[in-house]
Amino acid sequence: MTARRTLLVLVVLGIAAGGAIRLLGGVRQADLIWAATTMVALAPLTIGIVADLRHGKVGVDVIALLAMGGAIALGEYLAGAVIALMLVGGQALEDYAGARARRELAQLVERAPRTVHRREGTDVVSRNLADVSPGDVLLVRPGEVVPVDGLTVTPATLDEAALTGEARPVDHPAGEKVSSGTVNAGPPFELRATATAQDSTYAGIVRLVREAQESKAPFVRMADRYALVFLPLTLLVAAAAWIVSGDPVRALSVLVVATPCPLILAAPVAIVSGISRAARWGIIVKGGAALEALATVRILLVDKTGTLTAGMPSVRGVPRPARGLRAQAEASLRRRRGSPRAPAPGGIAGAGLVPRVCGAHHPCRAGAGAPARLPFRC
Amino acid sequence: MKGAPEEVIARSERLLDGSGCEGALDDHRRRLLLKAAEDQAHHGRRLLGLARRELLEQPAGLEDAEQSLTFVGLAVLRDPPRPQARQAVSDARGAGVHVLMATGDHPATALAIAREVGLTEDGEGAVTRSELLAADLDPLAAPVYARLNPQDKLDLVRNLQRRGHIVAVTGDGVNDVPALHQADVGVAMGRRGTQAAHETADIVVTDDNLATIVHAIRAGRGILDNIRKVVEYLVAANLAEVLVVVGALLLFPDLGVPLLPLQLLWINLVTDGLPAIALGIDAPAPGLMEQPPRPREEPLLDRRVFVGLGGRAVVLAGACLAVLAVSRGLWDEPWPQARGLMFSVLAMSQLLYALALRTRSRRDHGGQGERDAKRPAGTLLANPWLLAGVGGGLLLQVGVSLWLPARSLLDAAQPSTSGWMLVAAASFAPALAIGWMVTRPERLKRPPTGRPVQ
Repeated sequence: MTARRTLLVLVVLGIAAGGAIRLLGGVRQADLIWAATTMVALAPLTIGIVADLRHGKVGVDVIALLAMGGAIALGEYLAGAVIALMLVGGQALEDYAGARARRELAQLVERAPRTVHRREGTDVVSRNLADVSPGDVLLVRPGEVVPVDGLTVTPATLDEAALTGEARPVDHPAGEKVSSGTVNAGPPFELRATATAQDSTYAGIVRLVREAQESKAPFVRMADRYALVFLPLTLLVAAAAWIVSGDPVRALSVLVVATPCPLILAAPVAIVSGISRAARWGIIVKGGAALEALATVRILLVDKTGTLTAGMPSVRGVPRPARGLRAQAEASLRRRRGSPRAPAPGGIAGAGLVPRVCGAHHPCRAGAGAPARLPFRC
Repeated sequence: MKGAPEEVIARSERLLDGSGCEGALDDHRRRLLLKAAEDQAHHGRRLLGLARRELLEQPAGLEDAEQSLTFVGLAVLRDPPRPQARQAVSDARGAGVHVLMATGDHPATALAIAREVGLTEDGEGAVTRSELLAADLDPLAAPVYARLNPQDKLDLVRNLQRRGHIVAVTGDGVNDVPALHQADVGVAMGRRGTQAAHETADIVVTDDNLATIVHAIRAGRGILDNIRKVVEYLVAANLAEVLVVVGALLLFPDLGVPLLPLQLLWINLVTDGLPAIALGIDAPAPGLMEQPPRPREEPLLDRRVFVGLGGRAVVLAGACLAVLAVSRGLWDEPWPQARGLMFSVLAMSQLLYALALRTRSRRDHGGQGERDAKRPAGTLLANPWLLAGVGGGLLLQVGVSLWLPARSLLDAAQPSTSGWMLVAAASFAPALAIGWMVTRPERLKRPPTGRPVQ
């Protein structure tokens, strides 16, 4: 449980306990509990505001601070506790809205390997990722993420979908460059590191994502935008009410009205609800800022393949001159496979290309298509 | 080898004919092949030229290897437009959003698809990379950009942004990441998209469908509209509370505090809690997508709206002060009793104002939108939370007046029969007045625009 949620639970319990005691007749005791409840929320708020002031920022939180402080000073203990509830509740909701946005990045970081298997003499020893230096020979086991950029020492089959989108595993003979972040889709292989983890591709992607998230302004609380006008105006009206009437409770009334808790509460809820509504439509939104920006979009720049189009080309026909070839290719495939319904030779054979012969020099690979030899006589 | 037909044909010297035999490829045949390729491209097909060469020894370099080829044929790939794409493009345009296409493909292929989804009319051309680089072209001049590489796409986005546009970009590959990052809203494709694209994008569309992106725009507008409603509600209601506190001070300076802090908090809890949240989670209003996008610089509340909200606050506060005047001045009730009556009116009139506000918003946008036969988005039944919040709030407020422990804690009044009638009248009157004020067409409305701008 986060600190803010703990705080929320404490405040709710405090108000409820005070209310129960009050109903049983304990007026003094109830006030005491409510005052304590207010203090519980007041302490972190004060620390936060002081920290903000050091950075030269003044927010509308100041009004909540004055309202709670004033409530305690004037003996309005329940009022103070209720302000505390609204403030803490709003913060908890805001946390909830922000957590969704950060989850994605956390997943990416979690996927990154923490330890590697380094060859040291004849042994393979587990080491920290940070200890890898260029030149080290690492063992990458099946299903593991390639930890750093490097050259293959032994042949490897890698799933590079994370980097290129290519779903089919890619074969790399010994001595080829491979990137971190790809996944070993074949047997174990050895890798000679050419970069440290810090300088590797995967770290670069994580950095890019983090920058992308940080450079977009997080949802700015609505009330904070109007703080510059709102705050002095409120303090002025509160002071005027006190001076004219001579009654400090009037100033407190103004502060209570102005406490922006409702705004803090309602805006994150609207955003979170929009995010979950979008999710039902199949749209994953990372944070409220993206949704806000969407509302103002004037230009939608789309790519063609896969967005406007289905992105899944299929063989629809073969031009006339190649038909004879296609029939030959299919017949040849059926013979080879011994099956009446061999896999479709695909557009390439259909278009008249002579597919590569499968044999000792050219091993067949899964997903590479069915090879066939055509009997040419010219 | 495979490659762009023009390139492959230019490097070929021989031709594989239909019977599988090689013949010479002369200039006449070259022209015929190029013509055939061009024709296919105009039908929106993607082309690959295929050629082969048998090598007896290792060539010196790549350039040397790709010479004296035997042309084998053209692979013709057709990637048909999605069935929903045409409607989505038209929806986006109706909402004032320009749809541009950027692709690395052949201009003829791009144009053919663009025509099919209604992005271009017959006769409109595509802008290629060189044209884009050559002139300081207004990027909105043409809807189709072909033969772009990732850097060009990034430049195009920057160019649009320099002109003050807010740009959403779709992409799926690692090469799209720069443009996705630069865009105001990066949209990654869930199925085709790479991990890097997913991570960089602001939103991910799980079904790779343009129509879903248009849905996302609707969701964004719905949220902004809801937040605006919440702010209109809360600002007017809380301003009314301030006016009551200050107004009572001016009208009855010799009497005590018009509203105790605890009473104000109670009102805020009842009125600003569930009703405000219910306004915030409302479904997008029908007709939202028939309006142009909100300008980037337009604040959520401009001066005109603020003045309007001030007027509503005056109406709400006026009803409360009238109750105070009647009960104190006319009926000569004791001060706590008069104050208690006003306390009830302030809470109840705000709750009813929330209902008036939502009705206004629906009428404001009233057009064709998503329709649900059972719960049309335009009726109050479509938002049960709001009904529960307002109804529950009214009951709570009545309960406070009737239940002794709550009454003593909040210092509320137990009204007489005439007191109840006064409370009811004073609570409904401002909501009705505001309802009348805001449904008049010239009030608080964004300029009515049915057609997209530009």
